[in-house]
Amino acid sequence: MSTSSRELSRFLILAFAISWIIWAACLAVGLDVTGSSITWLFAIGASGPTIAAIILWCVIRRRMAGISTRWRRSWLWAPAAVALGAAPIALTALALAPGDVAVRLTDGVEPVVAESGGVLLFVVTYLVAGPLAEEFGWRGFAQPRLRERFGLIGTSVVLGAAWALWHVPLYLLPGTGQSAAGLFSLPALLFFASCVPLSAVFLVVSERLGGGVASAVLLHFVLNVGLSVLPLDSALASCLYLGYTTLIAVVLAVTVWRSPRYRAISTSSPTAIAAASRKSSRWSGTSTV
Amino acid sequence: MGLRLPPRAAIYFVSVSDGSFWGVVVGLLQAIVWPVYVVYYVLLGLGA
Repeated sequence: MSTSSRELSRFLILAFAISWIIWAACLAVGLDVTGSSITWLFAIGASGPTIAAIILWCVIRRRMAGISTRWRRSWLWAPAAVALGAAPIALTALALAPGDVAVRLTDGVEPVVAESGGVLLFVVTYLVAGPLAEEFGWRGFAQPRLRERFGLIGTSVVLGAAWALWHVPLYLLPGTGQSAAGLFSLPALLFFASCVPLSAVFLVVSERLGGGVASAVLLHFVLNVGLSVLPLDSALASCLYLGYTTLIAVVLAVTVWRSPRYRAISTSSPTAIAAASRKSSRWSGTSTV
Repeated sequence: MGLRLPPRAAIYFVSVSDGSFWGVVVGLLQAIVWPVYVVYYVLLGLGA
């Protein structure tokens, strides 16, 4: 087993162990995880991927592979992350009822912001819950290591499957948005399926457009805000969301992923970064961190 | 999910729209993901 595969296995075991063990404890307590004394515990569990990545980065003592330090070469990742995060839900809302989108937006924003306790808390909550809690792990640690072995499709399928599987306990915990739908429901199935094309979108924006984890955090933030403001309240809406996400992923794969122009600004693989770090430490006589 | 707009799907969705500009735009938006509607109605038929 190669170093990258070993690191990837360790990451997945650690991320799932942190999240699932803590969430199992929350499930055993039986309280609402979003509005009770165990909310902090639930939040730690939800941060499993990022905690696992930080632990492993400390253990490996290697430069944070996947976090692009060359984002300045491309400015495109920021607007792309916002546009691609908003596009699936916006297209879904337009295809369902174009006349209602403006009303749904204005009606949807106010309660979501009020529920968070104001604009600042809304931004902080939506930035931490999901984007910061997960992306250092999925897109920062796992994605570049998967990319060493697999292409766009393989990485998206494996990472999307892991990402979907990691979400399963959320469908069992009282108080989460997912628990209202239920684990064996059509929206749950469609959500799990959408993790694969979404992983492809994340991969293109974070790697090909050189956005790194910052772009993944922004993309995840916009996705979550979009789904909260314009929730998928019917089976057809969930189907359309999956359809548009898949379509966007295919378009990105055919255009941006294959383009030599964007290949040039891709993030380096962890092995390449490690090799470069070893080389530079040999010259400078210092250990790499 | 094809990258090209399937003409028959576009014709169908535009024909069932209200004929307004936005109605046609929405019809085209629906047409580019026409398999979604097929899967959805199949699932409905199966009682999912």
